Amino acid sequence: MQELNKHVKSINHLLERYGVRFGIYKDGMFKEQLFPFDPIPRVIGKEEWDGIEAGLIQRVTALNMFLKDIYGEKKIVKDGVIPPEFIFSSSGYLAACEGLKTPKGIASHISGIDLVQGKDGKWYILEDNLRIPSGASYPLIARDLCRTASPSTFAHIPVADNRNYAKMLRDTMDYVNTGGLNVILTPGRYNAAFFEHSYLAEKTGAVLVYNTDLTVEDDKVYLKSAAGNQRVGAVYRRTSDEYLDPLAFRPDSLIGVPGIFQAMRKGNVAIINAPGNGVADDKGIYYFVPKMVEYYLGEECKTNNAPTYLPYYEEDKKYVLEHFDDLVIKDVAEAGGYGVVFGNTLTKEKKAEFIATIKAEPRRFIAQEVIDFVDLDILDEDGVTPTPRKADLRAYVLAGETVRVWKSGLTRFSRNPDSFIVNSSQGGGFKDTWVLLR
Amino acid sequence: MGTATLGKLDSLFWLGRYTERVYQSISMYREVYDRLIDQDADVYKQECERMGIPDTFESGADFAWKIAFDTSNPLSIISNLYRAYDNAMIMRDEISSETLAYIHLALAEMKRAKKSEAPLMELQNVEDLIFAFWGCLDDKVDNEGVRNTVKIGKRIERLDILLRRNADREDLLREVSRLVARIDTTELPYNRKALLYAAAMVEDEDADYDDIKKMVWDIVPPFL
Repeated sequence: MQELNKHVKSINHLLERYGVRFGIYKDGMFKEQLFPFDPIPRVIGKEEWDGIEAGLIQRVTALNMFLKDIYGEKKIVKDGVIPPEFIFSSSGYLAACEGLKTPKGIASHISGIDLVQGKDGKWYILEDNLRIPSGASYPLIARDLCRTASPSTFAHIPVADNRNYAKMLRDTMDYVNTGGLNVILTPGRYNAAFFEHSYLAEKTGAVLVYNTDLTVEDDKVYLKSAAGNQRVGAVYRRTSDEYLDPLAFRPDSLIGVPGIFQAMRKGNVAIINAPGNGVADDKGIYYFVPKMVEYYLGEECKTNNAPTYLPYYEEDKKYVLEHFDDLVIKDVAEAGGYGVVFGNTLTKEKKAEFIATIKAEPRRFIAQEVIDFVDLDILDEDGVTPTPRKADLRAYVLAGETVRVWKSGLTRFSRNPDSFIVNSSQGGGFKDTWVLLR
Repeated sequence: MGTATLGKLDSLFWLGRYTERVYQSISMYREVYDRLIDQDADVYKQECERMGIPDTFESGADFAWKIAFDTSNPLSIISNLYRAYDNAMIMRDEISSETLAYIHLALAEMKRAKKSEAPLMELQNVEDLIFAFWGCLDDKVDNEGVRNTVKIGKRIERLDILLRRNADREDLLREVSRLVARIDTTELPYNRKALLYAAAMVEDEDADYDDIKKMVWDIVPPFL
């Protein structure tokens, strides 16, 4: 593994060569920057991975059952497992999706589950991302480049090959495809994840399209190619729900495809992931996922949630106010590391202000114990000295004919020694994730 | 049936035009730069006139820097390379990451040239990388329509530059015959009449170069 560290320069050169970048808007300007890569991988042993994998399969299976139920019979609400307020006041709940039947009954085809490992050795789930989780392309290409730069590393360490992600994604698209082309719908060149959209299109053989390349006629979706219209059977969309279809959602969307939602309703196209999934990855709903597992599968939940409190419940609110300084408070409507506040970092005035907001809008927040999670070493700026930093892991779970977990993942780390925030939009870097075969 | 949309055809076509423009511009730049060193301080004025570049430069040195590296000047080599990059990066799924990588590398080399005291060295590398890009496109991209759309852009651009530079008819004939042989293997919307007229005019020794140029511009009119 140390062998790999010696090649950090070559790896960075290769990352530049292949344009491994992400976009960011700063002061109203779009900028592209290299996603800082650290060559020291996160290594997960086989047994440990087997446990994570089983838990994630169970979790995503339950989440898919929840989505089907919530836009259908709503048994879980009727049976009192989840209060209706948490469903219908969620910004991710889309009334337009009521009664929606997704091809093969799958709503979350690609789930990005964020985990951290506590110092007690246990893995904790921080978030479920079921809308358009991004990032898989980075460890995918990084592995390829690391193998090029340091082949001997991989000759001696039994690491599961992660370059099957494109095949897994393709299988998922093919499985739900209603007949026609697979396409990846990008919001455009100036989207933060455009590199990923184009890279995954290349690797899966799907056609990369913009909204103006698609048209809907008689509730069927077509690609407007120069040679004539061609039927589309699966759309891996990287456009968020509200902008996907101006006829169904935000009418002012200029990046949507008019009529695509109705085409899906008619069963004429698969949209990956399905609209409306936001209701299941709402930070408020997160609290209920272990209960979902028990409810739908009759099994004990194999994954651990971080200890979470909902100020919505009086008892939890009391606890949150009493232990405010020990908790991290999250605004359920925010994402990407935004809306996260560590209680002990606020001034007296700000704290009083924040508490007043929690009291006024209890449904808007969750509070979690701060998990003392394992630091991972990164190479310091000198490229030699290992330095500990906070890091999480985004695991990718693909649901098609079966539910499978990609034997790898995106390990994101904070470059700031005092920060827990690992998001790329806030200056974080990434590592490859190695799953050992034995 | 091909899956290329009109948007993609447009990007591929302009990718061909901009890469050729960068390549040709560097080779012209080298000649002018060499003469500016110690022979003819005003040589850049003739080049501006020939290529239709507004002469807003204060001196030969000013020209040498701005026409190569001024990103605010849309006619500079670096601006044209950025335009090639813009078109290439949205075509990753068609031309492959491997082929696209040569455009990334050319841009990185161009930025190095900008900081260099002897930029012709790095510009030579940019030329090499453009060549490598074309070679990789030929070798790695299976879709003939994609390859040839880029090549059509390249040929149109070369014809335009040759005409501006009053090149020999023999050179023009070679480019036109390559264009005619290839254009029907693409799905690019084009003006067949203009192509045939341009081909006939190139063969006609009395035809005026400015008239041929206008006809060449009409072969692939804006179609988006």
